[in-house]
Amino acid sequence: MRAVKYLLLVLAIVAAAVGPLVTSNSFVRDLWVLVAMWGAVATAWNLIGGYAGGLSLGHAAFFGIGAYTSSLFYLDLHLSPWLGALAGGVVAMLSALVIGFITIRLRGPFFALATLAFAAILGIAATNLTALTHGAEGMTIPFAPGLGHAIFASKLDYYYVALALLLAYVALTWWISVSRFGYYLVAIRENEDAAQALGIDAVRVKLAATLLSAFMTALVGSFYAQYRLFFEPSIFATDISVQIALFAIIGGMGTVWGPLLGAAILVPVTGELQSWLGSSLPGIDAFVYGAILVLAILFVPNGFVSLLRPLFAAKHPPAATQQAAEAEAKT
Amino acid sequence: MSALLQLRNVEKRFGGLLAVKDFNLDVEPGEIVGLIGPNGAGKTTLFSCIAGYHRITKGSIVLDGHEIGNRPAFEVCRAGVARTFQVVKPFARMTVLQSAMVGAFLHHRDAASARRVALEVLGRLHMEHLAHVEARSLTLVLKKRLEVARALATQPRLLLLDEVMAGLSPGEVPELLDVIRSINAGGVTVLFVEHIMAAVMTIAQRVVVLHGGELLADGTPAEVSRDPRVVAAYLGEEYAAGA
Amino acid sequence: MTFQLFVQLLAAGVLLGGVYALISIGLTLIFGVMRIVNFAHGEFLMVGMYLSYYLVTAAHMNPYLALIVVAPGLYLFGLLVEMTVIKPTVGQSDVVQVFATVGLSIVLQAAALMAFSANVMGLNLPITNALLHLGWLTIGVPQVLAFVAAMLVAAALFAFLGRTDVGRAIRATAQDRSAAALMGIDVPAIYRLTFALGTAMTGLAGALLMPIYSVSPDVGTQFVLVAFVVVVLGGMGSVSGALVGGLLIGIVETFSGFVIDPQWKAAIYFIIFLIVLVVRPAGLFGIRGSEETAS
Repeated sequence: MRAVKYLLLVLAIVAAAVGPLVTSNSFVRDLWVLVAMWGAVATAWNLIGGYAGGLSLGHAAFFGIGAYTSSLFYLDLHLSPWLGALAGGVVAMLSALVIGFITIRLRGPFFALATLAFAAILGIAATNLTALTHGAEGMTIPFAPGLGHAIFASKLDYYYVALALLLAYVALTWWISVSRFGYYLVAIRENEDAAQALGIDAVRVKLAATLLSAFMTALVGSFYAQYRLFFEPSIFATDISVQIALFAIIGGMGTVWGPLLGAAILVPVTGELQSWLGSSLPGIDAFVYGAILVLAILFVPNGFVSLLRPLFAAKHPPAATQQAAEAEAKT
Repeated sequence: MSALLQLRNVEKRFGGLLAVKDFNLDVEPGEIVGLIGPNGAGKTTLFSCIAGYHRITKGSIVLDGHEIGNRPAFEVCRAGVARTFQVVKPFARMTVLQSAMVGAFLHHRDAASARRVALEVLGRLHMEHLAHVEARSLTLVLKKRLEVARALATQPRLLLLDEVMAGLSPGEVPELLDVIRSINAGGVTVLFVEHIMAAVMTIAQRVVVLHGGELLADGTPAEVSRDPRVVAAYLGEEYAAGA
Repeated sequence: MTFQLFVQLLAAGVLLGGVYALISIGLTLIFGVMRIVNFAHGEFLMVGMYLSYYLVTAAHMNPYLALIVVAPGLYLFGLLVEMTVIKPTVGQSDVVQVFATVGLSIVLQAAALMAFSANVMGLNLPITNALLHLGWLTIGVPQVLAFVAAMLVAAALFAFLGRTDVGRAIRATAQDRSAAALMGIDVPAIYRLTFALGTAMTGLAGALLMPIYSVSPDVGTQFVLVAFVVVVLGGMGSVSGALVGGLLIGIVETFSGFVIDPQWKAAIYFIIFLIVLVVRPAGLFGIRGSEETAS
């Protein structure tokens, strides 16, 4: 079983490495980039949303902070977006510290609302601080390809940058999931009181996860700015935050591969829906998309990863152990 | 000999309700102390005060020379006090082993040694065959035992057990008593709340009786069970006659 | 600021606040009883507005007479939504509850876009532009009517919850659903009723807003945020809190719109919202603890 798992992993990485080379269709290559990019953001969200159980509906805030910071560094200070991305990560962490202190004690839906409000405030600020952000006009980055500018002529180059980020994030998530930090996050999610009783400083651990997640999300935000070369204050919109969370939820939150799986399913589906249906009747693509989401949430609440699990039958099949528990209970 | 745990003039007030009044207690290292009293006497409240879940309104709680009163729960645990919850609080979607590892991580940073400690603790509680069962599918009795395993995995000096025997069948009690004795033999001081009198009298070296938030009696099981005030307030005539 | 201006702004603020209260009562009622934060609440308002719009423009009804159709219409709509989407989420994790209603809001917005296009539509009737002159004070007639209706609806709801058996059953369920079930209350039926009732009240709010504002598929997103702010400020689950919170937010909005750039108006809501969450997360009249992590 373990061998099968590693074989599949190697196959997946090979497929990810050569996949976009197979096609020269720009639409399809764009999908590959978007899957890697949203997969990375959803993986970042998963740390706080999936592992720590904080249902953030404000990750667009960190994404937008990344995009605006690196772009302002590049356009106004003439510094490389690579540096700007790191700066964006730091700014995102600072903002996460502020919002973290406000929201960290709030329960599920209230945490969601508070994070939503936080991103909305930034959206309003981005629209109205025109001197800094160009307001509703948005930020346009002139097309000047070059490694130092982090602007590339080929979508493939963008793809490999996004893929590198994605792989790094998935690897980091895997490492966290088997280490003390990951255990602590899950323990806090499952029962914060019990976690405290075992010596866990829940506020500190959650805050650490929030900062890390914010940093990771902001890096991808900078990537998005360099890829699209244009964005508006709508980058802070609730739709984006909802998207990010949905990738992770539909794929399987609190799992290493779930968020990527979610992005790999939903990004092409939305892309295809738009190109097939979008022109026939405005709104029908969003309607179908929304309907799929509601059905998926209601019928596959643990995400599509849970459907794949039987393929990797664990060493201890749950059914057998449950019987053991029941047998124990009877004695 | 200096006490491991020292409670001095501890008071806990909830608004107008005085739940614990001017309470003093010394627990010596290596002791097994039973805390008994009628429902509402303030036993669980006292536990929560020691473990950092309630703020005390007066007094001091000292563990091995360090004040732990009104410190947050996680700091109290780090100082060496582990507790179980009377109303179990399992990590529902973690396995038994993972739950115990969360405790073990307190003193063991890397997963491999945390796992080793957790497995050893599960072995002592006769739960190793359940290592890979999710906590939510355990019976209540086993969930209570998992509370003990988790707490023990933090390698505490003082273990606070809150009614871990409730719900056990008479046949199961001696087994858990043996487990507690072996934990104690391993150098862990135990303070426990229990309603099953037979168990308290068997295992406790000292029994403390709490009544209406005040200390009513403090002595060996034999002394306490003969104390007329304890009999009147809690044990009842029948028990005294039987003892 | 002159006294006259102050009174003018205060009147406008109170009237606006009444509307906000009406929008929020359904949300807080549903939360109080079912512990579900309905992220599709704004879309229910949107449905009410469209229904009212077409009753007026296509069926030539008086916009206030249309209320008689909108309220039962939305009640049925609420029943349908409860049975298909909400019921399966009761007792499930927060994720399922939050995102099932988020998904519902996407579906409803898209459906409105398909059915009515993205055009912004408003009513233009003599009554929608009518003004009331009280000495030097000038206020809009639809605003006054909306305010009066909001107060009547709130009073009717109070009477229903306080004086009828069903209302008492709803309050019992809100306090403790398992105890209510033990007392023989049919909790699923109470949930269905509460959800439909909350939806009907939101639809009423939509119909009362129609003569004042215009409707488009995304109109809900403008109002849902206000509703959340009002409800958190007043205390999740508290009907009287929604009334007071609505009035407060209406007044704050009117005055702040005069002092600062209206572009920042929404930011004011959110800042109030975050301040309330920090300072008094249970809101003014809320049940303490419902918003914090279990402890």
